[in-house]
Amino acid sequence: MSFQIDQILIIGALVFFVFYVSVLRTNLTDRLLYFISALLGVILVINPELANRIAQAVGIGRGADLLLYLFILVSLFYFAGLRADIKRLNRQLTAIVREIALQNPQNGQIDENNEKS
Amino acid sequence: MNPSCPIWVIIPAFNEEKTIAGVLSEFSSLPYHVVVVDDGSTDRTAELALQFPITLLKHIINQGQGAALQTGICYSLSFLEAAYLVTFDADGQHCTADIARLVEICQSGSYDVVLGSRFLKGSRCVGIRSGWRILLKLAVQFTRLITGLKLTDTHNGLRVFTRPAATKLNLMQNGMAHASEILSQIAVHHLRYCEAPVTIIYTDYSRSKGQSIFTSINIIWDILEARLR
Repeated sequence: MSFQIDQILIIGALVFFVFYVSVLRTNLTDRLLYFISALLGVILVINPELANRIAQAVGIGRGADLLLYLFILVSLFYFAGLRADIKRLNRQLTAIVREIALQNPQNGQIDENNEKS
Repeated sequence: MNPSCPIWVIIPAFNEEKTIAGVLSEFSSLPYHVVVVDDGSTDRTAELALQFPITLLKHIINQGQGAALQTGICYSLSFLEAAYLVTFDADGQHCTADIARLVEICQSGSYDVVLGSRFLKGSRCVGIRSGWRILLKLAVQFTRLITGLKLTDTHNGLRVFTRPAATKLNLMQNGMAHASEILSQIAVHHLRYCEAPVTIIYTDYSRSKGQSIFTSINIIWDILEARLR
């Protein structure tokens, strides 16, 4: 089964996405990723012919399509990062709620008739 | 309740005012320590629970059954006399009569964890819908794939842990995926486990509060999303 370049790129991007969000991701790598993406976006917007050449080389078609796909990819990374941050905050919230619960146990009524020794 | 009883029963509860009194009254004649974790209920769950000889812990904001269980586990482990920790549902599905039998298996020393199963020979499963039975069977296969554990019932809330086993638990899944997380942690820590037949009674109430296919999708999503860094 032979693959076209665009299919290879899609599979590669998906594999990298999973690897990044589960293993590689740190504040620094996030910032580098966004900076490089922004820089790439600016370059491709300023130089649409470059975007067209790259798009044709990978079999996508138009430079505008390339920019759209890159935008979708970067957005997925960003949203995955947001989800991870929200989950971390939720864990911190749970820790606080738990600590309050543990510090304030309440004892229910003791029915002396039912107490077992 | 016997102050020196080594068996601590943890009951997470969220808006269970309809069943909590009935469930706790079954424990009145039993010697176990009962710890009810009120998970941010907006009804009279806490008020009704306090009418019984139990300890009540309150989450001021609803966090999920997994979080409530972990809170109960943390509390119970702070008492040295807690040698066996039992997880028990507040919706009336479980039978207190099963606790002694599961604890006895733990006390044999051969197992760190005893998991209740509604599908083993000798168990009773009253009122289960066929669709839900199929879903649970699929969950069994999913769990076998993810954890390697060979179980017949992967979402049964009735479990017994020895103290050493309970200290290894650290539930991060607040929601219903905690059931799968418990099994993952059993596998990761190589805890000796077995299943024992228990009785599960479904009522219209417990079915209305129970899980659906959509919850199953949420559980799978939570499990996968837990990999996010």
